Amino acid sequence: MNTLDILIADDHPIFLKGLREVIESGGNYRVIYQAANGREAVDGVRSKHPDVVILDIDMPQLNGLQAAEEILLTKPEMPIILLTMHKVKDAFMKALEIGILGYVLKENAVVDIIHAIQSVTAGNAYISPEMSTYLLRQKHKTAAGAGDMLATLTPSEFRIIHLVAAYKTSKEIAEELHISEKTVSNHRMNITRKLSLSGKNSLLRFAIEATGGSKTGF
Amino acid sequence: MLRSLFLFLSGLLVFLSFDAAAQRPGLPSRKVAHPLLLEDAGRELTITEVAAMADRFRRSDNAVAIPGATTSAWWVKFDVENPLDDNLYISIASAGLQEIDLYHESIPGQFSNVSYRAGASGDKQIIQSNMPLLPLHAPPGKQTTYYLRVTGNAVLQLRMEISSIENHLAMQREDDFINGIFYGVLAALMVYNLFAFLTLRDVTYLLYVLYILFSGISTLILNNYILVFFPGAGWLNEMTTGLPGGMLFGVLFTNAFLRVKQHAPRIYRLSAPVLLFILAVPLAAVFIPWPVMYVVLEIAMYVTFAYWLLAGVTVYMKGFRPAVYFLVGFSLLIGLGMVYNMRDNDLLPDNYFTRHSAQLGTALEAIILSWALTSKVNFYKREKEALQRHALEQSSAFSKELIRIQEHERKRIASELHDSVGQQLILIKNRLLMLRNKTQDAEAQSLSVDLSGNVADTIQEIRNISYSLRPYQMDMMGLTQSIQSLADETGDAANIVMETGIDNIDHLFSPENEMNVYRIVQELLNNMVKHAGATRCNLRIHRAVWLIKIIVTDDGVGFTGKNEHGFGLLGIRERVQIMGGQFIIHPDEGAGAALTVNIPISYHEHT
Repeated sequence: MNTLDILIADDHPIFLKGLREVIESGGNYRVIYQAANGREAVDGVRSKHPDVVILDIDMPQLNGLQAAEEILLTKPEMPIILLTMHKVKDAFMKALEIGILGYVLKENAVVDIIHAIQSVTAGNAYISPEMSTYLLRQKHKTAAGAGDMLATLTPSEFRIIHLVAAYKTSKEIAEELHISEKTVSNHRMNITRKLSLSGKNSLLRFAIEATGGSKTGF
Repeated sequence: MLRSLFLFLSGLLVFLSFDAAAQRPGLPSRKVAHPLLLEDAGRELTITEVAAMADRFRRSDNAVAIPGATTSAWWVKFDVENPLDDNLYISIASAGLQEIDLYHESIPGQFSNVSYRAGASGDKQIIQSNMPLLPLHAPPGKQTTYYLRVTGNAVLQLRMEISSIENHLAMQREDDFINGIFYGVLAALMVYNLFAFLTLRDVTYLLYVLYILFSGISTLILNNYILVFFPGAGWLNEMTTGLPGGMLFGVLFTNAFLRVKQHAPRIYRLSAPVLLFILAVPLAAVFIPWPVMYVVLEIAMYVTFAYWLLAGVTVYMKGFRPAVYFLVGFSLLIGLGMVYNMRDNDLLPDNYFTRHSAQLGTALEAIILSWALTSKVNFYKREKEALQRHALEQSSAFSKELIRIQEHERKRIASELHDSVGQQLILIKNRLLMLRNKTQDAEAQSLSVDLSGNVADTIQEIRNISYSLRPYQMDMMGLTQSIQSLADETGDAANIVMETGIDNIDHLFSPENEMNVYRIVQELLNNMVKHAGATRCNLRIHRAVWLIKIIVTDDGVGFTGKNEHGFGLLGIRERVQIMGGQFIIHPDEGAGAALTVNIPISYHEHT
């Protein structure tokens, strides 16, 4: 396994130092650059070519969301993890919209960060479990018109949508439905096409809005 | 207004003076100039006696016969030629006319008589007017000698003109019309300044009104109008009442208007004796006969003039600008009085302007002084307005500063909590999580799990406090998204169906004003949740070119009878005012309330 080069950006040096220790103790990870603000992070990505970028959401100059947007403009496939102390829906939805794959609550960073890095390098979304629990516990309104769109789905697609809305990865969905991961991703592609969804993490965003978060277990 | 009135009046008269040759019917008017005079000190001579004393008549030095202040009866002898068969009348203009008898020898040795008595209906042939008109019964085609006997109780200045009755009436109608304008102007100015006095409670205005009133009465006496229209009011027809009144209030007005006491204290000390002197005149008139009183009155008048001039010039020299009005008005009064006098002495032609210059002087002085007073009102008004504007600006600046400080403080506390306490707690929680992973001791593991749970709760509380102090979205996602989230959260928390339609309003305002907009929406929604008892709410934000429009409607109990000055609404009003916007509470139409806030977009504002 190759060593993964990681860039981390946070304006709190103590947290940055602790996070670095955790990441580097996790195995094949190497922190190649530490940025103290968003601008430095964007420049660092350009000059150091990291494999994964970890950004704090609250930073001077450019905040995490702005920095991520700029990075993804030049490197659309770059796996980005957002560190945040905001346990709120709108910032989370915004992050998904921008195309950020990982959303990690700072308070659980030491536990979640390695999982997050593993998940995003594999191309999957990662959301801190505490965050997804929080989002599921919130009351959601069904977006107008989404109900009609859901009606066009087949029963298996419908089941998958609800699992996606429960922040399950494709692998977890495959395990739960006892089908192959490949089938799951086929279903996801079909749904996306059927509903003409576009944009980053469009299926996940649609699933959250349309199902109002999956409250019933499947 | 006064300026145009002033220009109109003087313009009118100058224009009319060129138009003096206006055609009037009948024989043109002829003055009885330099007539023969005879004084009858005992008032006992008869016409036959007078006719026999032809050699005792003396030719008048002045064009106008001026017997002056006198108790005697005066005889005037003149010849009249009636070239055509015209119906000739003589008009006699003088102050204080009491008795007039006109004689001519109709048949040799026989004198026919026309007589006029002040206040009495008199001979049916006499036309009662401020200038009595007496028929001459002049036989046509020849010259006739007339004798006129006159007594009076004022300064007799006999302006006599002979003309056909048509010509006389046409002229008198014109005179009355012009006099009407003058007295109308004086009356209007009095009413206007009386209201100014009642409104401003400045005694200067009242003194002005009284000055104009008595000056007006004096000219009414001089023009004989009082005798015609108020024949019973003999006391009013006394120059010893009218003139001292005018002088008294004139001096008081001068003192008040020029602030003589402050500007020229030395001259002010003179005002007390002057006033005493003026007051003594009408009292003395009860005991002292008229001819003497006339001298006293003249002296009083010149003393008063001197005082006015002295005060005006001195105060002006001291740098009190409004004194220039005073001096100009005063000069006009004197100057036009002199014009009037020169016309009497044939030094100036007889036309509208010269004939009415005395009244014109009074009227123009009244207008100029009123003008000065008006500029004083405007001065006060401007000063007051400036003060109010200043106070408003200050209070606005104050509340703006207050809100700015408040927001700044909130932001500081929020970021302090978030960055320092929050970060520390995050570190602690992460270390506890690491401890749990590292230790094998089950007890230590469960303890660290408990502890990290506690810390997580604390972090959540810090978050809640920090969010309530300052919306985290503002810096992160902009105003529009922040308001959207605010609406969604408010709806969720209060279990209200929240419909939103929010145009993008990012980067239209300075960060400070963006926060104001956010707080306005927050307060609007808070109010709705707290007081409306609504189940549905609609929040719309429209962006137009020059303003944004925030409209909140709900299906709650509405605003009728609600306190529109509640603290929340006050906060909205204050922030709206700072941004120069409008806050409108729409009257309830059926159920629910509707509120609109308009905020102008200032493209000059640095965003």
